Amino acid sequence: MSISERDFEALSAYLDGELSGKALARLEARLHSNQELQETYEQLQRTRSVIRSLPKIRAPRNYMLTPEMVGVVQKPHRAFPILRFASVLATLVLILVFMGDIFVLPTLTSISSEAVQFAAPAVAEQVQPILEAEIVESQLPEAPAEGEMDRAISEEEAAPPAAAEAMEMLEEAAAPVEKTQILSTLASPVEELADDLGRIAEPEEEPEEELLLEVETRIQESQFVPEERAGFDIETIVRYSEIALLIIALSTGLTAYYLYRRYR
Amino acid sequence: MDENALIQDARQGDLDAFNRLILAYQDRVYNQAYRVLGESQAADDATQEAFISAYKNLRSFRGGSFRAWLLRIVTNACYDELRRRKRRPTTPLEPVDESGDEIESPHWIADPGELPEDNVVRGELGKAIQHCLDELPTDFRVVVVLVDVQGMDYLEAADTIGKPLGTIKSRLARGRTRMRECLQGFWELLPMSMRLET
Repeated sequence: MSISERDFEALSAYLDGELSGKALARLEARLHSNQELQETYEQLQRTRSVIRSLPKIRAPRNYMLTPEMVGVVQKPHRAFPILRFASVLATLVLILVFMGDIFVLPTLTSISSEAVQFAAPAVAEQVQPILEAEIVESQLPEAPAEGEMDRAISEEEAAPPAAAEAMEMLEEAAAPVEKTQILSTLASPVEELADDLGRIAEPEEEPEEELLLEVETRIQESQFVPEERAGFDIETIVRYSEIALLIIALSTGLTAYYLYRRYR
Repeated sequence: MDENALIQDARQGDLDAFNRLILAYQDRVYNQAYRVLGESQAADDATQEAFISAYKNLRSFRGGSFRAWLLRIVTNACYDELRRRKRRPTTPLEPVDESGDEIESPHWIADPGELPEDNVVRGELGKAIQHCLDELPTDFRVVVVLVDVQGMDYLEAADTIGKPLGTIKSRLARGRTRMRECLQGFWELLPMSMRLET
């Protein structure tokens, strides 16, 4: 009795435990009664054991892939170019602001303070007699000498506006260079007027303390207020700008670097 | 290692995740290629090609056994290589002596190390089994390697080569029968317990 291909197939499946139901029962019954079938089964069993004894070969190398091998150019995250540009831009602006802070701002500040320091006392000197004259005139109604009367009257009319203008100049002494020049040009007629009035008022020269106090106070106010306001504005804006730019440059740069590493 | 998470990451283009999967499976994949092709250089090429192909086609993996999916790809790579060989057969470089006669055991084949007897026998037996595997038709060889070398069950083997269960049973039985006949020629190499009786 020879073994058919169907018998080999059944024996092979039986060997692997892949036979079930009636086919399994039928084969087991035949194995008990058929010696040749039994021997064939044992041979298949040994064959399988021999094949399974093949050693497992280790891979001779690692087969890990690189982006070049798979031909994939990995796209960076879409936010990466925006963040990179923002970081570079913020850094450049920060450098410019910082250089301005180092080289330009001190110059501006010194010019400003020098102008205030020099201009304010000069203007004050010029204005003080005018203010005094204004008050003296209002308090001394006696008629001046006749020869000087005409001149005094004509310049008296011009004096109050000139004095008021000088006061306005004092209050706006933040940009003092140009304004100081303007004041100095204004100062010459005012000075002349002050001299004239001084001469007129000379016989009755009785300085009043209240008047002088008021004049000094107004001069002091005109010296300090503009300086403080100008210094605070520029320097504070520059400092805040530097801090904001530094934060923007660092945060966008670090985020861009993270995205670059993550999606590389 | 969370295999599913790595597969998901690799699908989204994470090459590092896929490389971790490669490290986990490269021995199995190389074994499959080597046992089917019977040559280390060709197996090396087929393995690398299979992993590249797997990465590029990872979206076509629809769950199930990742090992079966990988072995299917490397088996297809082996089929491609065997078809290529058939189209362009190569002449093996046989060593010859000064008179032009073939040298059976050239000196560069000899292993300079002193091997124990058992290792020699095991090595020879391995060569004999590989020789018998090489003698099998490719379709039979692939199934024998999947089931008896890789240790797959019939269902997984059917999934790997994309054939019905009946085909697996049939090819495996015929492959084993031919292996049995072939191995009888190397009976002296077999351990006593494995010697086949005719």
